[in-house]
Amino acid sequence: MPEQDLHASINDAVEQVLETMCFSAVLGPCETAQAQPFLDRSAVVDYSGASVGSVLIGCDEAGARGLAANFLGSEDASEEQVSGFLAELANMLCGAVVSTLNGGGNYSLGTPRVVPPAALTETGGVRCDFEIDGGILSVLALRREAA
Amino acid sequence: MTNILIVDDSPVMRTFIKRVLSVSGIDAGTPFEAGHGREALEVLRAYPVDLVLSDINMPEMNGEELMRAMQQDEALRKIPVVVISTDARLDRVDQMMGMGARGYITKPFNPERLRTELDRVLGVAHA
Repeated sequence: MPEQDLHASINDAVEQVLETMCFSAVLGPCETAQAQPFLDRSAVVDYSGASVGSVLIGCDEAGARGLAANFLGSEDASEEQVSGFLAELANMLCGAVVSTLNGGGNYSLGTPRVVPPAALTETGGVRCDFEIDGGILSVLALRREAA
Repeated sequence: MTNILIVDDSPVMRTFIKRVLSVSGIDAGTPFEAGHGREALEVLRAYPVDLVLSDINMPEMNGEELMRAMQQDEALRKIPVVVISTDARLDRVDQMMGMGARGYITKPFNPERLRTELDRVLGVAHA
């Protein structure tokens, strides 16, 4: 899939997931996020199939807490719930993005993992940054050729 | 009231589904919860459950194994299972429906989608 299409796929996935699961919306692209290689929180899901790769998400603290609060319907989400939410968010975004790769071929997803703030600048990845209510959400799709 | 069992290894997803059930206007009371298939079987054998909402990928016992175990149990095989998964592949949907799932909801989903699917599975006419 061309890089431009992957961008569009990530944009669609983020808009759809935030709207339906977080009762929130993307406010627009975040121009300043590219200068920030690390955000406060990260989660990743690996996928394998016709191609192999990962979808890594990064979120600043305010953005993560805001989305988690909307998802859970509670303003006082615990640390564990915010982390669990980010893992689920990565899972849903990865699922939505890989379903568009190679016409939605045969892919399987790994277990979503919360990871230490991860570099969002890996070579070969497609990164999209979004301004969300109160914060920033970044998504990095990394593809590698299957062995 | 419909007694619903939510099976998902993610506590936040179980919380989300409970919230969506609530805002959907589905009279589910306080749904039962299980973190994987084995826990789900314990709940199913201890309480009267009308419908199971289950994830597929879970530790201990996944959704496929849960459905297989339910099919092999005379007392459980008629309880409808609706799968909720990020896996949108058509062959996966077909596989789960072929195993006896009565419905399949792909994440992300909104309250209306859940309501429509549960109404269909439970045979409730739309207002």
